[in-house]
Amino acid sequence: MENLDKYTLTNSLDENIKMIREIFGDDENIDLRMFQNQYNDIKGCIFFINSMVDTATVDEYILKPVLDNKALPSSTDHITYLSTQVIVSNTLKISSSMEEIIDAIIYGNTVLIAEGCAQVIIISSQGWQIRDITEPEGEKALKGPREGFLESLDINLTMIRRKIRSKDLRFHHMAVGERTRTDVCVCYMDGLVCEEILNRVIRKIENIYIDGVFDSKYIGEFISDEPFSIFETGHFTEKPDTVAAMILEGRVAILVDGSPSVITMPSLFIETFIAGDDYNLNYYYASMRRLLRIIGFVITISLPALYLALVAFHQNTLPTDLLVTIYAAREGVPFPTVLELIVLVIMFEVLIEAGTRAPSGIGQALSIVGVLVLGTAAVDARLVSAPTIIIVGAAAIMELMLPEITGPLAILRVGLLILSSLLGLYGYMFGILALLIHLFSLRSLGIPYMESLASLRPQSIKDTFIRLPAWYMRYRPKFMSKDYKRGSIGGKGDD
Amino acid sequence: MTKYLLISLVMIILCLLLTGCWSYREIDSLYIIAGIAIDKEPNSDIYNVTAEFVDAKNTAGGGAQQQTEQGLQSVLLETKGVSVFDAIRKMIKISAKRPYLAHATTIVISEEAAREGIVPFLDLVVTHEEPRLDVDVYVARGKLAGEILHTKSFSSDIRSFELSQIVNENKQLVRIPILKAYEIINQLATPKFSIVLPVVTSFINHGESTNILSGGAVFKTDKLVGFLEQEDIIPYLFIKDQIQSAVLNVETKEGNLNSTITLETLNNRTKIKPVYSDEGISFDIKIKTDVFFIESDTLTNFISPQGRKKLKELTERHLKKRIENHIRKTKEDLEFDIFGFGNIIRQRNPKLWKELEKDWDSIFMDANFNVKCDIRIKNSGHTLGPIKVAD
Repeated sequence: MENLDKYTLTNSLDENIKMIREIFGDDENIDLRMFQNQYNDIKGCIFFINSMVDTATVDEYILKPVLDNKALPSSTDHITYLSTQVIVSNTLKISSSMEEIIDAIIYGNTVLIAEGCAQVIIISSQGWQIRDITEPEGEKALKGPREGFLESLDINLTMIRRKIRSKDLRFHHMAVGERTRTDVCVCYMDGLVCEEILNRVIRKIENIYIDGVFDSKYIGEFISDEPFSIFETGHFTEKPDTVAAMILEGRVAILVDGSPSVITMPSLFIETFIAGDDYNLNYYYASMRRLLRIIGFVITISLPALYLALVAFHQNTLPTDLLVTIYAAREGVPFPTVLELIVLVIMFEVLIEAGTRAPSGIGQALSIVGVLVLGTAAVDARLVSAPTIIIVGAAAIMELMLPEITGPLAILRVGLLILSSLLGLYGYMFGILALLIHLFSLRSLGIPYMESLASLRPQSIKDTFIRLPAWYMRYRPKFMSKDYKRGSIGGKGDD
Repeated sequence: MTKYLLISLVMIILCLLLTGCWSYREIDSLYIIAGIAIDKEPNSDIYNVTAEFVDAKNTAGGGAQQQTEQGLQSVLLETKGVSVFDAIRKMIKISAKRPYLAHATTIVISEEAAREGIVPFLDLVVTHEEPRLDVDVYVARGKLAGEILHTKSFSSDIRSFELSQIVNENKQLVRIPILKAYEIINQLATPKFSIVLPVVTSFINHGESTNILSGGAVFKTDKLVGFLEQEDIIPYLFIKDQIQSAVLNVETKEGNLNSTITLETLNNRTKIKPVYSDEGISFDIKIKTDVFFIESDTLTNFISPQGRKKLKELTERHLKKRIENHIRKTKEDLEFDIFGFGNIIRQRNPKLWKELEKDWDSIFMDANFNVKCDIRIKNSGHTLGPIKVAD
C-alpha cells in the first residue's frame, strides 16, 4: 500500500475513476455505477464490490436519494451537501485519503465520488453472509449461556459489551498482517488490568511480522512466552461468558477478526480443567467434575506407561490374581506388550484424526472398523491381548474429557510409554518429574503457569481443583489484577 | 547452551547407571510359582523340591465363549539339588519359561527337613531378590511336603494359594499360630524364644484325602522338636495374647447329663507379670476376655442374670484349667519355654535375665504360674432368647 502516496484526488470525476481503476488493476469485481441527477445535474459515481455490500442499502439509501433529489444545491461543494442532506446512512465519512478509499471499497463499503470535488464520501454498506450464533462445538455446556462467538469481530465485541455493561470496558484495535491488515482487538477492563501486562501484550502484537492472520492461534503463537512448550500459555475459548469472566479477573482478551476463538491471557494451567459451565452448576457437583478431569489427566497420560512398567518390569508388584489374569490373556499373543501398547495408542490417535476429517457419512463405517476390527476381532484373533485394549481404551476415554489439551496429552502419553519401556517405573518417574519441572517453569505473560497450585490457602484453592461458591470468591487471581479485592465489600483480608 | 546440554546428558547417564537391576521381560516368559515344598532325602544332603506352577493356558484362537471357560491349572515339578536354590535352578533346564518366585505364597517344609533346621530355607527367602518376605511357612506332619502339593485341593485350583488364603483371609477364625517368614527371622534372633509354625496334615473328606491346618510345630531355635495338638493351640494363643476369635466349649453338668455351652471370644487381653520371690520366679497370667454366647445344648437359661453369673464362673474355671494343663503338659513333653516367658523377663529386667539366661530352661521348669481369668459375657449372639421346649 506504500505506493498509494502518489495518487491524490482531483476535481475531475473521470480522472478519479481512472485512478481508482488503475489501483485495482482493472479488477472486474469492483463495481462502478455512474449517476447524474436529472433535476440539479449533480454527477458522480459510486464504487463498491457487489458481493460484499448489502444491495438494498446501496439502492434504497444511497442511489435513490441521490437520483430523486429535486432541490438545487446552494453551493458547489456537492460532497458536503450530499453527505449532510441527501444520503440516508448513519455511518458515513468524508475523506480524501486514497488509502482509506481503497480500504473502504475492499471491506464492503461504498465510496461516492462527485464531479468537481477532490473529496469522497465513504458510506457503510457492508452486507455479507454471516452464520447464525450457535453453541460452540468444542465447549458444550450443560447449563448456562449457549451463545458462541462468530467470525465477525464487530458481533463478537458486541457480545462482550452486552455481558459487561461498564464504561471501563476498553477495546484497543490494531491491524496485524502485512498484507491482510486483519483487525485485532485487545479487550480489557480499565482499572482491573495490570498496565505492565497490557503493555506487554500490545507491544508483542505490534511486533508481529506476518503476511496474514486468519485465526487467533497465529497471534497466540507469536505472543506466547514459551514458544517451544507443548502446553498453550494462552487460554482459547469461543464463549462470550467465559471471556467476560476472564476480563473481570483482570485478564486481557485478544479477538481477531475472522476467528471465533478468543485468547485470554495470562492463563494458568488449571484453566485447562475448568469448563465454562462449572460456574453454572451446583458447586459440589462442579467440584466433583473438576476433580474427575484432573484425575483423568493423570490417568490418561500414565495408564499405558504404568501398565507396561508393571507388566514387563515389576511383575512382583502386581497382586497375584491380577498377574495371573493378565498372564492368561497374554498367552499366545505374538507381539511384546510395548509394541501392542504403542500400536494401539497410535491407532486411537488415527481414529480421532479419521473421525474429525471423514465426511459424516463415513462415520458409521469408521466406528465399525474401530470397534470390531481393532477391538473384538483383534482380541479374538489373539493379535493383541484384551487388557491392553482396555488400558488404551480407558486412557482414550479420559483424554476425551479434556478436549482442550488432546494434543499435549497424546504426546505425553507416548513419551511416558517410551520412557517406561526403556526403564520401567523408574523411567516413568523420570518423565513425570520432567513434566512437573517443565510445568512449574512455564510463564504466561510473566505470571507462573502453575500459580496457586502449590498452596493450600482457602483463597488460593477456591477456584482450582474444586470450585467454591461464588460468594466465597472474594479475591481475583494473584498478580493478574491491579485490584486484588473483588467488589467493594470483599473479605477481611484473610488470605 | 552446549554446556547446559552436556550437563543434562551427564546427569541422565549417571541416573541410568545408578539404577538397580531392571530389564524388560514379558510376563508370559515367566512361569509363576505358587508355592514350594521341601523334602529331604533320608541320610543325605539332597533336597527334593516340589514347585507348584500356575498354568493359565488359554485355548489359542478361541472366541469369547471359550475364554470364559479358562481356569487355572496347577502343574507340579519335582527336582533334586544340594540346596533349595540349586533344585529350583534345575527347573530352568526343564521349563521353557523361567520359574518366577516373587508370587510364591507358601513354603511347606517336611517334618524331617524341619528337624534339621529351617534356616537354610529361610535364607533363600531373605537373600534371593524374588521371594517375598511375607511367605507363609508350614510344616507337613505325617506325610512328605511334596505330597501336600499333590493332594487335590478343595476350594481353589491352586493348592498353595488355597493354603495361604486359609490363613490370610480367615486370620481371626483359623486359630493357628501364623508366622510370616520375616517374623520367623525376627524371632529366631531373639534369645530363648521359640517359634510355633502351622502344621498341615491330612484330612479325609468323603473318602478322599485333602489337607487341613491343624496344630502347631514347635521349634527350639530353628529345629523342630515337637508338635502342639489342635486343642493345645487355644491355651497357647491365650498365653501369647494372640487369640482373636476362639470358640470355647464349656462343659457343664445338668443333673446327670453332660452338656456343652459354646462361647466365642470377641476380645482378649493377656497380661503376664513375673513375680520374683525367694522361692524362685513365678508368673501372674491375667486374662481378660470378652465373649459372647453362641449356643448351648441345655435348656438352662444362661441369659438371665443368675445364668450369666453361673456361666461366667464356669467359663473362668474351664479356661483356667485348660491353660494350667497346657503349661503342665508343655513342661512334661517339651521341657522348655515355648511361650517366651524368658523374653518378658529380658524386657523388664535385663540384668536379672543375664544371670538367668544360661539355665533358663530349668528355671522355667520350676516356675509357678498363677492363672487368673476374667470373662465378661458381652451379649448372646442370639437375636432371640434361647429356644423353649414345651413339655
